[in-house]
Amino acid sequence: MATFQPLDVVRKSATVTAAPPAKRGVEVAKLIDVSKCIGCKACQSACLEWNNLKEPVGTNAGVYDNPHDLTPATWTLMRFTEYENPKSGNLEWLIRKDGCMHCEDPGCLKACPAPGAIVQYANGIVDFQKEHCIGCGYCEKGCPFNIPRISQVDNKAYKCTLCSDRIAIGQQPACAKVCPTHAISFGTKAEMVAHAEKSITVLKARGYDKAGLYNPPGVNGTHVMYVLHHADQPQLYANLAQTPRISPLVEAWKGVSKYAGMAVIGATALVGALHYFLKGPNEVTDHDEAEAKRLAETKK
Amino acid sequence: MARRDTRDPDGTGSYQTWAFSWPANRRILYNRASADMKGQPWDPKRRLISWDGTRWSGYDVPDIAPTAKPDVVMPFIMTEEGVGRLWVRGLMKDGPFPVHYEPFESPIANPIAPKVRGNPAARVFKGDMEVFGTAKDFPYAAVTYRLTEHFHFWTKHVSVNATLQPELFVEISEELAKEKKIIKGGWVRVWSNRGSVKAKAVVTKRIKPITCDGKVVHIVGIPIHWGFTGAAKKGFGANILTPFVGDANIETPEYKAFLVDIEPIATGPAVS
Repeated sequence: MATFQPLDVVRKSATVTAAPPAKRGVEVAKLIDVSKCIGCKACQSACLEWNNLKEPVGTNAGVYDNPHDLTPATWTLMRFTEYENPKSGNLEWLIRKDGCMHCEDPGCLKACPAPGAIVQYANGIVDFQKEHCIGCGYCEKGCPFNIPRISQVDNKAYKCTLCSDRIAIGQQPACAKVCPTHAISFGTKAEMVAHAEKSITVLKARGYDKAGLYNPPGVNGTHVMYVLHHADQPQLYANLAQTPRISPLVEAWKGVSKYAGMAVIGATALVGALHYFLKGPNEVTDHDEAEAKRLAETKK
Repeated sequence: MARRDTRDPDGTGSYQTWAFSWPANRRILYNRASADMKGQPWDPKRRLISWDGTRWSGYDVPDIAPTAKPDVVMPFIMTEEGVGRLWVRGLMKDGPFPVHYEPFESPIANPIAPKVRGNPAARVFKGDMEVFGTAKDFPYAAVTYRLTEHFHFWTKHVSVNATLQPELFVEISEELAKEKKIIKGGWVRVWSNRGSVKAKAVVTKRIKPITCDGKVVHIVGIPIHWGFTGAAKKGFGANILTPFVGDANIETPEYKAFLVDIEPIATGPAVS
């Protein structure tokens, strides 16, 4: 199967030294225009089909969301919110296609302790390499959008790959391909930002004066972006994070504490060395020898 | 794979060599209408078919006899007059003018003929007439429909579609849920004068009570798709509830409007 090659990788989890020589390529992005979504779930079925995923048949929980959450087999999920707009008095059925946002600064990659289990390609896609995954679940903690899920079957983490196998051979992601209303588009990030602008202009003309692009700076932007009618209130869309950022705990653990830990190890080595030079090595005294001999003889 | 040629040399979007359209690989029905009375295309840049003086030919397969003269045979070959019918001159059993009759089971009387039940020209068999319910016993208006995740009843055999909407549910307004103490995701029983089904309850703002003839009418939405077999969870067929009415002109069943009652129940059916 065609896929990205090692030289396409710009960032690898738990790997500092082996930074590959790959230059940053043209950044790609998927744009999800929530205002054009009709909630048909074609994207969800295309994702299951293309990635050959088997999600068990579940139950109805009184809502249209099915399955009820992302799972190791459901990498994208339509989340439905019924919102009564107090300004217009209209009922708005806000439907958001949830899934990996492919952050420019991926929290999962930062948190991952397994070398090479999470990589970022030159085009910005964040991909899990399951043969290196150790199933620790740190990516779940690191993700500001609560996306990765650990499989109970093989104990590996799973999420949307942005169809990296399709993109590697010049195809668009399966979800974008099947979307009947072109609510999902795919292209370079610059193209998608320009494409979003057109839609935002239309939405503003239709009275959604807070319409805008969701490309959160807290994670240096994302490679999956939304056009929202209410960009000032992303939480309306099934609790889309207002200001997503990597958990300070993960930042501290992988940042400050890493350096602090290294400093402690370094200091210990330094003090040891100093002690050696100033005091010299430990030596066995005659007294120690005599004591040892006495002990050995009393045992007999 | 055969016939996977994506070329569309005339730019009409017909893709003549991609797959096949039964029965003659004709891509656009009534494509004679794409040409004027003399048989020349309305848009010369997108010629589907045209008349060369003796025959019809072109990029699409003509949907007309190849030698039918353009000024003699009109494009809509399935009608006597050969043109589309925007206004029906005859043939309507309840015509000549379109009239609204309430369904046979309605929460209100016919506004234009209160003494008549339903459409007087509709087809109802004798035994079926007796099993209509009244608004007194069945106060809620029900409607059946399909979901975008499904194709009719067929896709209950497809695991992907079954995953996306797994289980039979009915949709009601928040107001009716409150009145009947029905909780979101709980089990309900819905019954008409013909049958009874058990389903999950989806309580939604998308369905609102409406006011008909001065009285508040609640609506119960019942999607179809489920049955006693398939990949989806087993569930009742919505047509257990629906009435046996053939509409006046083409005898399409009147499955979209009938009367039901609803109540919450503790547990669902032992079907899956």
